[in-house]
Amino acid sequence: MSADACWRCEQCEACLAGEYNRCAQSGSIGLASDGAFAPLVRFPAYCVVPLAEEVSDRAGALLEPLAVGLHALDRVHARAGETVVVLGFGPIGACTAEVASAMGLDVLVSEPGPERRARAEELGYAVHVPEGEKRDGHALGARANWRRRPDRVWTRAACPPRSRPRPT
Amino acid sequence: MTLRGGRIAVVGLPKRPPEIDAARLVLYERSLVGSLGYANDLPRVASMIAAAGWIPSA
Repeated sequence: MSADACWRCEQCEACLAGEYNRCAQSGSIGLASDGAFAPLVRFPAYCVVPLAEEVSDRAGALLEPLAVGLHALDRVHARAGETVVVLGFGPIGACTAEVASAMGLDVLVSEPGPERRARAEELGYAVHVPEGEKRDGHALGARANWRRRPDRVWTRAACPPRSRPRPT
Repeated sequence: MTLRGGRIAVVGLPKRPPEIDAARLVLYERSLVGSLGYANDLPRVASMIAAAGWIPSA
């Protein structure tokens, strides 16, 4: 099995609507409580996600970041055959690219870091080197010789490792 | 950044407030949305992996 890292109140309007990520009392295991880098971790029963035998433990360990990517793609109504640009190929960006690719989207990755960019290339993604914060899609598309501009853009902004604010 | 009518999802938490060119959102009728974590998406991902034999390489 795997586990959903979000605990919530299960009583508010958002929770009852199945949108518990918007619960005002929500928090993440590892951020708002002790994390899962311990040998054992305790979490609410509603967090349990049963896994089929076809899902390896390795893949199961990636369910959470992959779900973040899937949710972001849902938020932009991404559909197979469309083009999506992922800005940033960190862990979440990489998982989003993987989900998008599995969904049949044409994925382009823009990543300033050479190591992460190399990883994206290794995985077969078309990559782009951003030259500055002010560059826009016109120059981006022309420089990369992309045939068409993206339908969807998903961006993972840099965030500090600590002091991440709790959702309100 | 996208074609006309394109949609942009922001998932990260910026260190400082980014500049948003509102004119481009209006003139090209783009949409900018936030995406907070997920809700009920883990079973969906697990099903995708099980159904397609998909092995995430990230």
